[in-house]
Amino acid sequence: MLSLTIGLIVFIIFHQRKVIRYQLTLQKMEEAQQNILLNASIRYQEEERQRLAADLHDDAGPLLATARLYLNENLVTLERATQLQHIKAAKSIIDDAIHLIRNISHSLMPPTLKNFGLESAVNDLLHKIGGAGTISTSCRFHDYHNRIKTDTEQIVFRIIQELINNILKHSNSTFIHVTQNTNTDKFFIRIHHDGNGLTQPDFDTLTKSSGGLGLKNISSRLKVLFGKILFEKDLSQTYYKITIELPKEEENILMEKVAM
Amino acid sequence: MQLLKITSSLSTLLLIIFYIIFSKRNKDKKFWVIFLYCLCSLILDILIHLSKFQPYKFFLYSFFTLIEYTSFSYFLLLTYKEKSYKWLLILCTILFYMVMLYSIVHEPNGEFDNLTSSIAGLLVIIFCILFFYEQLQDTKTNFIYSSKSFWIVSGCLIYTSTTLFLFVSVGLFKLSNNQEESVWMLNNFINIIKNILFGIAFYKLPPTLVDSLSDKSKDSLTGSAKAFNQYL
Repeated sequence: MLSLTIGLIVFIIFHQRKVIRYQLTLQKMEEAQQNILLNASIRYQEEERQRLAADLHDDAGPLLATARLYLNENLVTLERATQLQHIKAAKSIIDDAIHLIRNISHSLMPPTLKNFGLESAVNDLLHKIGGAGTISTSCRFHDYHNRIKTDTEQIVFRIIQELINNILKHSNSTFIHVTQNTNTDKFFIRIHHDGNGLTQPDFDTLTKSSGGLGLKNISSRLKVLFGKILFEKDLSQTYYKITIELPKEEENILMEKVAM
Repeated sequence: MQLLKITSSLSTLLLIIFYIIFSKRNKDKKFWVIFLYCLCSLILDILIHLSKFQPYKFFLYSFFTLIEYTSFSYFLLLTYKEKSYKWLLILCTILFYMVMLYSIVHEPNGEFDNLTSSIAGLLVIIFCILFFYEQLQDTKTNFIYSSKSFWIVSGCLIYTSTTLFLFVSVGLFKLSNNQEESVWMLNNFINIIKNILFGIAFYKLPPTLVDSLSDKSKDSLTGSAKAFNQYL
């Protein structure tokens, strides 16, 4: 009986050590994955800053320099007609510069998102893309009566923006359709397109590889929101579907219950 | 035989002194219970040896069985986290007390309370196994042997599992004097082992002061998450 008891205690000790080692291994793997995502986010931010700097330097800079050139000429030229011409030219160039800076600012933080919400911002984005005429876009928000938190809206908008950019860059699709709906405790956004899409195994592989910076960024943003993403080909095999699933905010659940 | 008896009593005395020396590490109520149990054990050893208490051996053993069972079960009650285990322990304790009362009332002339000792031993074994099961289910990442409770419960389990069949055999079979002496010799030996394990428990620092394996990885995970949120 004594040896049985000692055997039991020893077994318990070794079993628990094994379980703890396994848990620590899982923790280390999760840590490594978080570090990869963090590094990817940092690289993405740096690339965006570089792009912004390039836009300002290459576009806005020369415009303003040209405007200054015209105004400088005015200091030298005494003929009124020439002066008026130079002022008009400078005004036109300054208008272009203002327009460019406004576009850069809107791409950084669209005012529609802040003032009118996610639905309007996504509609606006798709409208601009569809305006070029090369791709057909549409958007339908079925259950967006109560806006989600501003921070969450921003992150979700960035995710949608990134996904749509990827579709435009890589998939050669002819349509993009965005829908939104909810159930009791989840918030869904679905993006449908008919181009060359990703499936979930492709997404998982790219997220773990050294490339796929944008996808890693999407993954990181979703982790912050405790959300999930699913890439799949529709059962009819005619289009690809990306589903973003987020937990509904408690305030919104309460407001819906009160409304009912 | 006498040497083993004296060593067993001395080990109990040393354990009490050990507890007093390391009392700062054992401020928790559950270790006080074990300390009181050890004190009662020493007092019983002294009383049993005194000739004027020899006629009252049965009552002394019964009383000590009650103290022993109450101490071990109260310790486990304070250690359990699951409410269902606590309720089960309380229920079994009430039933045990009823059996004990019956035994004392109906068999006052017996030499040794083998029935109640056996039941007490069996219950303590079950509760100790329940404790280990609860510990294995717990997802915290401290090693099981880093907790003081593990050593106390191991001591209880080893002691009760070894003495269970000893006490059963004393009651069921008519043993010769030599055989009875061997039984008590084994009891004294196991008592020493139990006291050593209790001593380790009293000596150990509480688990919060020991480096947990996962603390470093938890810190770096938290740091990464914070930096990550800032960059987003």
